Amino acid sequence: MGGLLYLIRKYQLFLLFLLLELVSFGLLVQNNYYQNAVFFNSANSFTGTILSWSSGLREYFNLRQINKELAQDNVQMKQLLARVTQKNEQLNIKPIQDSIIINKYTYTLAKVINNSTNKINNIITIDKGAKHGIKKGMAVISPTGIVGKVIQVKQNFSTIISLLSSKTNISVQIKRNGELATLTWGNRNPRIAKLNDISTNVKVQVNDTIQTSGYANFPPRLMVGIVKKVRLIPEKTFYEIEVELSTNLSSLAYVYVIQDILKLEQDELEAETLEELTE
Amino acid sequence: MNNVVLIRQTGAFFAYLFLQIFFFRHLDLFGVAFCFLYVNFLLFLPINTDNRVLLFAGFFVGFFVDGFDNTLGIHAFACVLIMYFRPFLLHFLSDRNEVYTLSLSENGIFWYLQYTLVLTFIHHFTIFLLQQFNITYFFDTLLKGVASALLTTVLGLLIQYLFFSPLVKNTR
Repeated sequence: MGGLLYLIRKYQLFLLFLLLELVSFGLLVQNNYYQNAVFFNSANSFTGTILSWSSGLREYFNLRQINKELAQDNVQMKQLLARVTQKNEQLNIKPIQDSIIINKYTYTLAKVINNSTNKINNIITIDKGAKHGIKKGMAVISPTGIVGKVIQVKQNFSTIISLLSSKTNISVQIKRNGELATLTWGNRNPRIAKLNDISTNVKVQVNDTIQTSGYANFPPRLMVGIVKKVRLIPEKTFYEIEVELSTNLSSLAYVYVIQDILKLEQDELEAETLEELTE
Repeated sequence: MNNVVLIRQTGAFFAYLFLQIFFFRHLDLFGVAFCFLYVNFLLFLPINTDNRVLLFAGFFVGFFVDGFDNTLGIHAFACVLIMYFRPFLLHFLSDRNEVYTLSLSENGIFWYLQYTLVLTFIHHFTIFLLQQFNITYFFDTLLKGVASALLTTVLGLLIQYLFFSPLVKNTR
């Protein structure tokens, strides 16, 4: 026993070093694999508040760009609205009466207070949380395209796993022919993503527009990006396709969090069906 | 005396973390060079600081930076690592000329560069390795480590010359 105590005293610095390294490594592993278990991150009220000061400071330098993007977004919305009203008038379409379908998607505006694009899994922090109706799993878009998915919600802040993540797996389609594919990130360039699961008998061209399919959390027909490079690998039955993302995720300022009020019902139904099938 | 040191270190702690969180965190040169200047706080803790205090300081500072970067554990791990190596490196470097303080003006630029570059590189390289979490892009990670260590050291040197230069000392 005395010998043990002597050893501990002799190597106490090394043991302390080992202990602290083990704690750090434990935190790291826990953070990597169980996103929910995190207790000290950027959505924390303390870090969140300081980060929102920091982003407020930086915002001044980007005001011109932010203004331009929002104005462009506004023009697009006006155009779309005009086109839809015009079309409805011409075709004399009876408007849908079911308000729950009309109001299926609700948008919440949020300010980006922390963002990164140079990590393997990039996380965005926004200044809206449970208090503002944000829930886990909601889709997040920007004026120029899709951004990511809410992964953690605190009282006043939430974190979003951005498209630039090794875990990204989003159902998209080619606008021209409606062909489905999944979007992943190649973990290098913040502007480029990869398209998977498109078999070689489908025609894909450079400059094809890629949009959301509506099968994932995102509403359908949202802009994702444009095909930049199509490469056929010999001996494989799939294309290797690079997509230039329409959103520049490194200069995000404001995002919209989309709530799908029918999503819960859909999820329940699908889960029940799955249960039925397995029985 | 002790109180003065404590107050000064507390001031340095807040100054370095403020700079790190508000400015240096966003610095990104060509996607290879990043700046973690806050390590200078740890590198220039007084020379007579207890080794156990050094380890705890490393852990605490790293943990704090992690909170803002969503990288829980990574900075803490790297900081504790360099804080463990710090006394050994100082001992090794002082074999040739005795070191009593850790200031640039008294030990010369060569000593300063040796001391900061080695520890900064270990720290940065560890961070990039842990971020990557696998070995496939090893040379890319190595490049990032070297480039970032150089960037941090150069910026740190600038700060040393600006705020801790002999000129300032004489006027005080």
